[in-house]
Amino acid sequence: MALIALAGQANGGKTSLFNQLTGSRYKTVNYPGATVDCAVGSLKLPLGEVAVLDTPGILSLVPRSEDERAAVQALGNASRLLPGQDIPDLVVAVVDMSQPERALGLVRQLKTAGFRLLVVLTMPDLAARKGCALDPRRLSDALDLPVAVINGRTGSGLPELKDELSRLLEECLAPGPVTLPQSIGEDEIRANYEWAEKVVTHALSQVGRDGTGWGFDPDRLLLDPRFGFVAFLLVMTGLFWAIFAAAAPLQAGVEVLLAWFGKGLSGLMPTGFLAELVSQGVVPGFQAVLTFVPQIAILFLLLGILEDSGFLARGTVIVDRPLALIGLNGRSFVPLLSGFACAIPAILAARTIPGRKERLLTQFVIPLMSCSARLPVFGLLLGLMFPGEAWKAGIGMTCIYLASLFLGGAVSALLARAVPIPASKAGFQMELPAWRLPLWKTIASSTLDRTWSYVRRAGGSIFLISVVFWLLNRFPSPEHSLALSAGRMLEPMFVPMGWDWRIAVGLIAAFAAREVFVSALAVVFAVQGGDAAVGKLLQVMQSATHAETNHPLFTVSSVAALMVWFLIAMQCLATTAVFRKESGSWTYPLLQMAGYLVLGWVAAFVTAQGLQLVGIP
Amino acid sequence: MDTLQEHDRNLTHARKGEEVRVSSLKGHPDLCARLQEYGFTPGCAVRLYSKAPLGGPMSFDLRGGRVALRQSDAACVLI
Repeated sequence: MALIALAGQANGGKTSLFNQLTGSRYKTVNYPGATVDCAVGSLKLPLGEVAVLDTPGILSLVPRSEDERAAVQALGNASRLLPGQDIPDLVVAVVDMSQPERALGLVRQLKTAGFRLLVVLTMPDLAARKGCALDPRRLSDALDLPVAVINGRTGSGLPELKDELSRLLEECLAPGPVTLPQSIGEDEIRANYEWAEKVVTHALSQVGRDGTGWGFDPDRLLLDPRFGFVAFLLVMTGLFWAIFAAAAPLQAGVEVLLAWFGKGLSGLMPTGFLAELVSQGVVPGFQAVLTFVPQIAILFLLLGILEDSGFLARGTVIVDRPLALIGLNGRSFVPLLSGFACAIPAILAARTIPGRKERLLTQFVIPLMSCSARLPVFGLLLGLMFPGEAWKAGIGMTCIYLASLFLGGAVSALLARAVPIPASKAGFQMELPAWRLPLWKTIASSTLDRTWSYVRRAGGSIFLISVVFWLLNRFPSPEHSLALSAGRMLEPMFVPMGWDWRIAVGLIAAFAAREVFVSALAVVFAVQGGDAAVGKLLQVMQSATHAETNHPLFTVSSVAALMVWFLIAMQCLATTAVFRKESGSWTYPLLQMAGYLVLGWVAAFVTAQGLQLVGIP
Repeated sequence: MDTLQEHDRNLTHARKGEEVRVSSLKGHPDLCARLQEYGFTPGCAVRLYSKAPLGGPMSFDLRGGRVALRQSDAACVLI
């Protein structure tokens, strides 16, 4: 099979082009460095199926960060990703028409290295707005290479591009020997730019702007030395607050729907063992977590808008200075922010940070960012703390997010001093892509995709845990169940926080996935409370008491301690595995896990005891 | 501040909106190479767009795009 590889500078439109060619739905983000890993897809051409390889953005063939290294390696030898392939039959060099000089320097390097090339100009609309559109035919003459134009957002130019790809692949020239440069001298960089300037002057086909555009440049506000930071904080606080506040009405609807569905399902079952399993195990297990789907969807929606607009790159600029003080880098901002969705892609996103120390530190503190798996947990706990007061819960949620940022900062600042790795001298450079109005269709579909994959991923573990938990809670009898005995064994560890065996078993279940904590509690209380508990988890939990003392179980101090535990404790084994792979050793992932578990326990202990000391039960 | 010699001026001394020309680069060779890859090559026209809050990175318009540099990086680009 023939292989086409896409190559070009960051944020040049490679992933949009890849999606257009292969029909994939990879998320495109208006941020340089959004793609950190190669992706493989296939394209049907008249001559047969062709493999297409998307690569992370590069400035030159001499990589300076991990994502760039992955791209250059794949270009030189794709066999790691596609067995049997070596050098791509054709490299599509993606050139952002609105700022072509930098990308053309890379085109020249690719040509010198010996790749067969097709130059594809992207973002023609943006170039026309800026008044720097290029004529593809004249550019082709100047470069002595075939040139095509495509708008990756709308797909216009795609049929012509496919024809051109077919034509080039049918020529059937074996790719010649390719030599990747080991280093690039300053003279060569300068020469490439001088050459690129001449090529652009030759191919320029437009004088003056075409008059479209916004008129207002958001950079005037966001990059302003006085107002920028305030504007940035407002956006971020709004994001966190909206997750809870805006979701409240939607959540009420979902609850009604789920209760109705659960009742219907239980009604369908014949009475007996299976009916009990469904009504006390599976249904409450799912209800408890699915109630929080609106919040998760809103988180993904808002992150999607930030990603698509160009805000992220400005964010890195605004936070670079504060982050540098705690041993991180402006480029840590995007990994940390995506840590609020899920730590796993966030740890991969840290590849774009050039310095090793800064990268490791970022990956180390990412699990402290409150990920979406913790949303249902905090949702339930805030519901217990502020029953019926969504706006207070919204403020509580904002505080939780701020606390996770603060904690991450403190840990990073401490470790920056303690870790014996020299600080990086790579500094901070960031391209600021043009602002773009988010395409609502893209945002909506990416929000749905991400929410659905969240539900699917969590669904499996919820189902399993609900069934297992119901069995453990039910046998040999509800009064002397296996879960009870196991929980009793762990209980002493959690007595200082005011937690009993039911919470203890829930915490163990949370190692499968954090949101399962909510399902596990729902099952425990459903079995204990009988059918009355279904759909009324909050009320049942509020009236729950310690078996011996009859003191309420969920008090301000015990709930606050639970929140602190979930904020810190490292309970995600998948994250540990990814961190191990990215850092190449077990040292940091194991330190991370042990450290956060111990710290979580201690902090929960201090929270509960401290609150009780000042008279808050 | 002392009077600056012509050859001492670097990008951090540019005024907002001022267009300047890069004369040379001074600093760690890797950093100088990377800055030039971003387009800060001798002879290139650069305009200071803004300074970020809290003494953070500065943003420059050059070659049809906008690039932000930490102030210590910008100090390597002489104008």
